[in-house]
Amino acid sequence: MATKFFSQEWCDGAMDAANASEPMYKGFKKASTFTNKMAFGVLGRDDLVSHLEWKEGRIVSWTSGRQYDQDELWLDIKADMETWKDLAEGRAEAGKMLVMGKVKFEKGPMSAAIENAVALHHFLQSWGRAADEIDYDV
Amino acid sequence: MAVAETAGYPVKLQSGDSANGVATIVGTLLGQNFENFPERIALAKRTKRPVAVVSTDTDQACTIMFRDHGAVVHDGIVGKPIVTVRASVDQILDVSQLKMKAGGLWPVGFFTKRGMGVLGQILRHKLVVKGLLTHTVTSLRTIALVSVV
Repeated sequence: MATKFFSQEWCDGAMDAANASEPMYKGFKKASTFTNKMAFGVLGRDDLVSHLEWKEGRIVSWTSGRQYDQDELWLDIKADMETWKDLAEGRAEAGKMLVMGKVKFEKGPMSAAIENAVALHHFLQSWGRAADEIDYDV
Repeated sequence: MAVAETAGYPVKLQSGDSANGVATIVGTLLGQNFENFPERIALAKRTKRPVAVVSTDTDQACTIMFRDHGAVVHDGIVGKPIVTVRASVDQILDVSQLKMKAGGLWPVGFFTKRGMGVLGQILRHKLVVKGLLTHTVTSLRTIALVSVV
């Protein structure tokens, strides 16, 4: 049975996949200081959101749904489902999607995405490795 | 639509919420830069003529008009930009990470590995800064304004 995108099972798998990604870790401008909380959501779907916490370039918590207050979040990033799927399955590049306006920063410094663009790209690619089969029809 | 209301120097997107992606990212970046580096507001005010950024691999462009009381970012090429940066997304990301001092007049970022790469691409015409030779100060100032460092 396919794992539902942004479900807790998916979040657990994505966390393992991302934390195992050396290209992601090496892609940070400075992984040792990359400690923050962020949200990823689906445009037009307030019910589809996940919150995660980073500590020194590794994810320590990834929750399906809202976990933190908006004030606690450093970044709040949204895209439509098709864009997330394209990024997760390696058909799109994070930087290009950002410049095309497909990935939107609802909150947070744009400089963070620019300086960590390589890490962001590999992080988003790890989403596609969260499970053997992912159901994006949620 | 104001991207950022910063120290009396707002950055607005002429097309508001429907602005194209490159206009949105440049507008957001400028607004956040004026917040983080308020000294750059004076630099913006000295940039009297429009400058443009063309994203060659997404076929999007924007034109930035710096005024005394704020900047406006237009979709596409508007008017006659004095400087036009034509670059791929990766090149735009690289250029925006070049450290510039003295309002761009001391482009220290070019003397780094990333900067050398950018220079090499300019020399090979892979990255075009139209106006670099004829309006060098404005070209360097443009890079300084969008730099995140």
